[in-house]
Amino acid sequence: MPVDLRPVYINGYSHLTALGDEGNIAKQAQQGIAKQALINLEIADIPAIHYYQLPTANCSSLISRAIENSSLPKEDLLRSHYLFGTSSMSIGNNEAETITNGDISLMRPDQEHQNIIDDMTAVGPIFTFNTACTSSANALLVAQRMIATGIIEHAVIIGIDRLNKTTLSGFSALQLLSNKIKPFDRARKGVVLGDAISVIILTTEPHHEYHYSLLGGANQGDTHSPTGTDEAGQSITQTINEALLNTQLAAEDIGLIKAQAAGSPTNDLAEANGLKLSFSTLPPVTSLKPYIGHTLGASGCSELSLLISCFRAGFIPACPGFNAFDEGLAITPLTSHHHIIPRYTLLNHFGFGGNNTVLVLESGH
Amino acid sequence: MYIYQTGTFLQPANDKRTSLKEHLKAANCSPSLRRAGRFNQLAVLGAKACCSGLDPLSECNLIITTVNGPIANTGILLESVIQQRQIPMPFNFMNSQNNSACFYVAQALAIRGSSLVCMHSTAPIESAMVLAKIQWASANSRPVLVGHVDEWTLPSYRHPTGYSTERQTLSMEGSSWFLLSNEPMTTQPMARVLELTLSISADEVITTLNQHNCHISSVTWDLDQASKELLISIIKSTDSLSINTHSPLEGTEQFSRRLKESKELLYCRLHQTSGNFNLVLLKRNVA
Repeated sequence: MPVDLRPVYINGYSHLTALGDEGNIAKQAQQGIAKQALINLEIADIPAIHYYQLPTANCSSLISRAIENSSLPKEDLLRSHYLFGTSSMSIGNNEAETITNGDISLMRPDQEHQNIIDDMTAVGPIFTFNTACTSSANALLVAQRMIATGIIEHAVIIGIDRLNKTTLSGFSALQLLSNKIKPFDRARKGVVLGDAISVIILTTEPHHEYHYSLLGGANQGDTHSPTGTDEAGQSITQTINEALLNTQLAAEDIGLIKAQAAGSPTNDLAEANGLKLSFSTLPPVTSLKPYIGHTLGASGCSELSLLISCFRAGFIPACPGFNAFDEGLAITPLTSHHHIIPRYTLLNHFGFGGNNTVLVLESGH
Repeated sequence: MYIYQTGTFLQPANDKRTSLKEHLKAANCSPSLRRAGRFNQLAVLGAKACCSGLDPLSECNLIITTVNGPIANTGILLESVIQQRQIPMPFNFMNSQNNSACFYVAQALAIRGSSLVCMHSTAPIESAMVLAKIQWASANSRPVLVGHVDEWTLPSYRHPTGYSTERQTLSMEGSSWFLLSNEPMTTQPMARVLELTLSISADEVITTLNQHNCHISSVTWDLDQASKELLISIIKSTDSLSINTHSPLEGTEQFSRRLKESKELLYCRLHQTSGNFNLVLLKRNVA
């Protein structure tokens, strides 16, 4: 494991989900979860779908807000590296063009990101990561490594996934949807998806008002199944263990686990098994998906920014939706907010195609 | 960084999209790949060609890069969901995610390690090589299998002007792969990467080349028009300049082919994007 890596801090962020923005989201999370919309896709026999929807959102303005919130000079950040993480890419635009023109319309998948950056008159290189639900978690990990190894000084990481018919109908086809997210609960039936645009700025200097460091993490592929990870948890525990190794931490150092825990019957089982293999005594576990929905490729950024907002407000958010203990999982997530912020938090993100990513956050030290 | 092996599966793009079944059979691929989607099949065929003759790699990281991703599969999904208002086939939906290709490649080669998909419209293979370098510097020193995959679209699909011109520029589809390592492997490396730099200025290009004593006569070049003009203005010679004006996938394939075929000791790949340059400088036939 390399030793002479530079520290990497969160030096600005913005957040927009159905629960709110970075200015009010902690307060909203203290009070409850976001309101769901019912989406009628008008496709075959698909019933109305529960969804955490944003009315309108402009990605450029979210990036600008994160830049304004940062203590770095704007002109530096306009030349920064821009790393996008998304599962849906340009599919929403393709749908709109196809509806308008009648013909199947396909834009280059990352063209939308180029347009966003052009709108802002930014000139930095653009990378787009597309590894399903781990997309922006991987973008964060790559940016952290680029800065830690001295390749770049700062990076702007954007997690973005918006409502589109293709993704919703695809999840429906796979029978993965539910009307309520119940992480690790005996009655869990599936996920509720949600919109998110969230931006994180990473650099070698902490923000003057807060002190959160992205220590690193790990990514592992899993060839168990195209739709889910190994239920025995082997691949998940390997990813967690490698993340601990890469950040030079022991399992006992971890004070909180932000679980993937989307309420999927099989993937929650896999995560529970993986956690139990890595931790002889589990630290507190929570899931943020009940608050904002599963924001897919954006979840790396949206859940990190939500968590930091809550930490800054002095609490660890509880895991709503958990009511009935499942003996098969043997995990009880937090049922009320806690008020002691841990030094080290593990953030789990697992996705389609067997892509597992674990990040480690250090708080306020 | 050393390049140990390269391999390619490319075929002329054609609107009939001839089935890859025979190629998959010839490459001893699992029958389950039939449902994997064309993009994933193209990825597996190229990756298998790259690793052919090598000892099996158990621990290896995987990085796939692409300009367009499984774009034809996306079109098929839009036909189903938007035009026909039908629920999509689950496998078509799964195959619309780029990292499905990582899954099938890792499964076909029985490798374990990290897997990443990075889209980059102008310097896909260089970006992926940079990501490999970062992994070694910050995580583990496993070899990295890096592949550029792109597929051809269907004739009825429209690519809005100003967004994409794939059908005008892409004459091949397939995948081109490089096995990279920063540590000795059992076989001899094909080349050592002396420089790998993204988004540098013209002055930095010249400084970098001077640091390596790269005289124009000793280097094989792959250049786009803008890069050629830059070098002509500096070097005042066009004798050794070749121009790559092909699509990114063909550029990657040409990169791989030159690595095998060129007789020059040094090989430089340079191209310009948004006013800056991406540079890869290799020394071939190194021990």
